[in-house]
Amino acid sequence: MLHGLTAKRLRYLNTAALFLTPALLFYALLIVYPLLQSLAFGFYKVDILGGEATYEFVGLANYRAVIDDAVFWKAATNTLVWATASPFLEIPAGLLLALYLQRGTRLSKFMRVLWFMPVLLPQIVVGIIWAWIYNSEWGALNQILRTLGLDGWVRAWLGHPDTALPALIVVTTWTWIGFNMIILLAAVASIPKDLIEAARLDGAGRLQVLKRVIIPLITPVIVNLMVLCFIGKMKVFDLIWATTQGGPLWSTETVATYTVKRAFYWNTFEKGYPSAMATMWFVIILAISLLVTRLMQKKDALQY
Amino acid sequence: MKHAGRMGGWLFAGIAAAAVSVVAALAPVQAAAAEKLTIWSHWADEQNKKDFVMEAVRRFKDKNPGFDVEVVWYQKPQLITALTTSFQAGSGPDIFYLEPAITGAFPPFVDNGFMYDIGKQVDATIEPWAAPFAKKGNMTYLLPLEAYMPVLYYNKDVLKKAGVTLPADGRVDGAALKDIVAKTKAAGVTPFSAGTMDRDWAGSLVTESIMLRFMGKDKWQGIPTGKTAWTDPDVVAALKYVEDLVKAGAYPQGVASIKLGESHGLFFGGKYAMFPMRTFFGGRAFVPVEKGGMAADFPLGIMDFPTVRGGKGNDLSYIQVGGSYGVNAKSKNPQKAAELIGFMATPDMAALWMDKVKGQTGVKSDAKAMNDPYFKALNDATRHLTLLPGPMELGMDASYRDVFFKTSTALVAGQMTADAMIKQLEEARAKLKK
Repeated sequence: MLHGLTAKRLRYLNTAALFLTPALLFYALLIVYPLLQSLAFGFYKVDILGGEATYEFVGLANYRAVIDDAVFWKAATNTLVWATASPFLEIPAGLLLALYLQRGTRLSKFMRVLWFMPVLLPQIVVGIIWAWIYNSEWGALNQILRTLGLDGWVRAWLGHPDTALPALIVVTTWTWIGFNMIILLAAVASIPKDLIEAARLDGAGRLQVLKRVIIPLITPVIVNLMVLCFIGKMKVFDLIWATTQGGPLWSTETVATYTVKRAFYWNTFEKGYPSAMATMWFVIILAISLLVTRLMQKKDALQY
Repeated sequence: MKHAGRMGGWLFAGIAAAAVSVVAALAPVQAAAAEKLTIWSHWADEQNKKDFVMEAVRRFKDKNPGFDVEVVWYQKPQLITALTTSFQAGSGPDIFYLEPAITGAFPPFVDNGFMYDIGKQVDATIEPWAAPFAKKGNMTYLLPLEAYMPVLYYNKDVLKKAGVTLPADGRVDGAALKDIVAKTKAAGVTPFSAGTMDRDWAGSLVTESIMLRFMGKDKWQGIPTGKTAWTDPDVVAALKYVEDLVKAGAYPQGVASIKLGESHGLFFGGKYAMFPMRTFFGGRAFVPVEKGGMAADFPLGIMDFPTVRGGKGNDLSYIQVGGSYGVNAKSKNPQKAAELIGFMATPDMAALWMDKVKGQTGVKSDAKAMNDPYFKALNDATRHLTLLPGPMELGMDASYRDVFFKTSTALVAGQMTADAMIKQLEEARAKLKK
């Protein structure tokens, strides 16, 4: 019996290994190895040429240079503003839409598809669409403002340092509301109706049900969405690349775009500095993500 | 246990089969590579230039039956990324688009031994002024195919309607240009079409030409090295002049959110009076209207940038070699690749370039193209000029150049004053000295 159990266990382990190994190999090869290499590169002046790399140990020089780099901090500030603002825009909006869909109106199915559709679009396409909408000369937004007689509000939305970043935050909000909506819809749907009915019988209004029953019960989902949203925005790149490329005056520069510029567009093959920058940012993201998760997860989460 | 062993055997067999498949799949590719040249090139959306390259490819293939040539077209930023990463990995195409090393737009391919010497194929046919762009030491590393300089294109009809009369020689001074801006603005027309959103240099185009007029050669060439301060009176005068143009409403309100291609389209649309642009303008202008080009009867005029009172460089401008081709030193067929480059470097191909692209070239050509009305107008507008190798940002440190481009764009977009620009550039210059 014992022998049989061991064989069964081994069979199970073999099967598990068979299925897990390819994924782990890819993960190790494409994520872990580059990450460790990037970490190491940060301490070197690295020239990778023709498949061969030359290394010159420079200690913390790259990191010191990053700390002294005003553009890096501008990019870091922009990224943090984006990453902090987005969860508070996307998730409440997603929740409102989820609650609307939960009511099950005739248009629910159609609206669900409609609101989710932006998630399916590549960010480059989203960037092109919104660059048209924001176009200062013939863009839809300015045309609407002109039609409404609000000519004073007409501006180059992506062309001014004061409006470019908020304008792009609006774009990511538009894109990701649908994703948050679907997840929150599933979370809300999983709440037993008895609980909500009981609350109503006790005299709770819609707002009170939302505040006292629904939100507390879906808090773990909201926390996870917030962390996901935060991490996603800390890496934002493609939308900016398709629209402002970091301009004007670094107002939409993010750490991701700046790192790519330093790695590929600043007429150099040197990889030490961008690696140091990427490593520093990775550590910052990790630390903030852990902190946010810790702060937002209630130890006494509600159960039902 | 027995079962587990069989599982391991299956796994091993699977991996071995996959490895054999990969090797088998790669083998024909390796064999075929010897008979094929690959070109990676910018100009994905510039049909005239693509036609020119394909004509050279056709001629090469006619002379080399059985030799295949694959051209992969990119947008420039994507091309730079692809080239940088592939060369780092030790691969790359046989022939590739690049721009002269001194422009600093591409990584240092020459210094790292990635370029094959194509001197035998092109030395005899490139213009002497283009040679410094194409050579390093005794080595010729690129074919200086595209060349350009900055000019002020204008719409004759719009200027006429605005009551502007240009002098017979087309040369205006700083005050006259301000007057043109004021008159066109009063006529309800935006004086300059411009777009800087996807081209960082576009915001500095007028500024650096005006700077050259005020500063003269030595001070102007001292900017990239940090020798010339941004607080120099000539620099200050130039930037204040540009600031005055901006305040007079010379630029479109959304200049920082307009793309280069759009700025061409806006000018062709007839609602803009002037278009400060480099002469690769022809590549986008002389294509059918439905492909974004200029109407055949568009009343195009060309003039030089204004002279300025007390200017030390009123007869100076710059010329630059832009789009060029080089050969990968690690190509399996560098000699054949150089031969293909040679097919682009003949006088008749240079004439074809000028005819098709309506642009200048660093390759010697016969003078036939000068009979073309466009080239005649260009020649008339610029014949008095002494051309320096340019533009000003040539050879600038990447970080310094980034600040220059960003602040220049902010200046013309009215987002930054000349004083603030000077302050920021002085800070960047101080770092350069360190």
